[in-house]
Amino acid sequence: MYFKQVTGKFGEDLACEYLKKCNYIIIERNFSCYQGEIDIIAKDTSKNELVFIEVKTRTSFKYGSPIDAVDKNKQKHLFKACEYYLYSHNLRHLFVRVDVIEVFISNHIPRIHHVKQVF
Amino acid sequence: MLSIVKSLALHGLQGYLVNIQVDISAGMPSFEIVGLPDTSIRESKERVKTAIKNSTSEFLSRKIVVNLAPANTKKEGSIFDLPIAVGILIASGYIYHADLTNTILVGELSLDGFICPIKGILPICIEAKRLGIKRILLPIANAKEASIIDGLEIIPVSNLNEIIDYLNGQFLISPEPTSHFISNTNTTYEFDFSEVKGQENVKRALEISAAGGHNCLLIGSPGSGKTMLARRLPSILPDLTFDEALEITKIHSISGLLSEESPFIFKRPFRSPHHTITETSLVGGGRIPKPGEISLAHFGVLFLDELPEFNKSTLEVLRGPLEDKTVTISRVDFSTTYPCNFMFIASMNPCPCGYYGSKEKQCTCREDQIQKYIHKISGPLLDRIDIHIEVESVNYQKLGNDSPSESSDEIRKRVNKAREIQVNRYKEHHIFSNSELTPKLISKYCKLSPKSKQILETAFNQLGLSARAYSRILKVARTIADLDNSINIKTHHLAEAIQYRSLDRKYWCR
Repeated sequence: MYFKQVTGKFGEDLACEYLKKCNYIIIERNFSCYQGEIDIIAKDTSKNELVFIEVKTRTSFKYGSPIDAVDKNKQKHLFKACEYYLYSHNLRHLFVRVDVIEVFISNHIPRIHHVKQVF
Repeated sequence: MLSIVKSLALHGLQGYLVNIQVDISAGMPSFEIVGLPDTSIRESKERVKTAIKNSTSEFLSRKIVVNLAPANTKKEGSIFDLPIAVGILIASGYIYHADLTNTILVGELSLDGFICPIKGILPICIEAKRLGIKRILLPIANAKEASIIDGLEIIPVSNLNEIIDYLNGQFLISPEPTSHFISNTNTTYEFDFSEVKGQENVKRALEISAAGGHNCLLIGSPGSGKTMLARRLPSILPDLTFDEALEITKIHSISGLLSEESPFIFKRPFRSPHHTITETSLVGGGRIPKPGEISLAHFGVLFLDELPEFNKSTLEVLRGPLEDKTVTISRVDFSTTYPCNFMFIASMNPCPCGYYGSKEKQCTCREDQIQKYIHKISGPLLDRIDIHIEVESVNYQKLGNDSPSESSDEIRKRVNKAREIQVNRYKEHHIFSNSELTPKLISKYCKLSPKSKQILETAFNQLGLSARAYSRILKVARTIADLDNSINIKTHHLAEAIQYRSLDRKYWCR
């Protein structure tokens, strides 16, 4: 595994831990299809919403903040992948939300920033 | 969940109800507005979204479809922000028992949820009342303007939280009390006729045109006081009746010319556009037609200084409106009719150098130059001007004379009296002045004695008058008789009216 992938995986694990603490139920991780990839699919029990989560991990701000990487193109792919997931799992009757979780690691201390409802 | 909220859109001065249908369903989150919205409505998406986010409620991640029915007419403006937001709040359950039957909502949202004032609230309220609406929720800044309409419950709202609580019955907003129209009789004017020395004949002509709403052309050499006299015209115009004031305010309302401090127009408008004005800004226009200067001068004065300097095509567009008192602007999507019952006052020099026919100075223009200059004003336009008056230079004796001339207040008293007679006489015909008389009404109210008929016949043949000039002379004669407080038009009234038409022979028919 390359360093970048390791960092990404570490960030996603952290995000999962965080979501569990927030009473989310993790349904699936790293769902991938032709349209794109979804990092985490979870259920927000308090709001009864299916949440698709894109996790972005960074170790420096050299290339901008993590959420900046979720640009128009990435959003398009994410949207299409989510649509495909709902379609393939027959879940189109559910309320849906798309979130981004930023994980920033510096000096071995991770910080998490949860951005809800990006669409 | 589905919710339906009503609002109102305007086509010119005509209103129609718009149903704002909001559907919220499961699925990938999106926010669509359909039903031929223009850019400003499309942009309302972001305003609505942010305003709801910044209120006590939440903008849920849902699939939202907003339909503006009827879907086949184009809609514009930011007035649908509030009904869209309320529709979404009802559909998402934040407003739970709102009774919105016979209620319309209008208002623009700012990002913090504050409700901003909109244009055209007065015509909206008038049309809402006509369409059987009982209650209107509108921006607090517009409440004063709307309060002139009675029989409509006006609820002023300042922000989105307030409206949520109000509709849920947790907060009470008392309806704006109906304000009564107070005629501003003690209006002060910047200029007064007492400042003008001499020129008694011109003052008389302006008095007649103010009393009957007649058009007037002032011709004279430079510095003779044409502009000075015309600027003082507003000070002798008759006071507004309630119906007139309402119509003027309606037009100013859709043009967005009213402010919160002065939501109602008490004075007759006096519009004097510069001669570089275009046709569209004069008669009104745009993709969605807006009223032009002639409509803004409705029941007031349109003053065109230096008439020959105006673009010829610009002047010619006045022909129809001067006769019909309305202007219909047609566009691909629809056409709009605006009223434009204005008094047309114009001033001009008789030739390029300005001294043709002057007693003081020799004219230095060539004959063809004068002809070219004077013929910039076409015959048909001239024919529509009832009163032509020559403004001669004032001699030194009169200028040096310290005795004050008649003040505007005195003249206005006479004008008001004459106008009162007219309003009472034409009560059942829904017109206000002699200038609005139709041929049928002319034959009813402008009866002439046999002797007067003879004079008119001679004038008609000798001056080569048109049929239109004939009826216009009768209208002016009627006004002169009204100023004289005379029931019938007498011979000297008619004679005075005729002499106001004889000037064009001196300049145009040489």
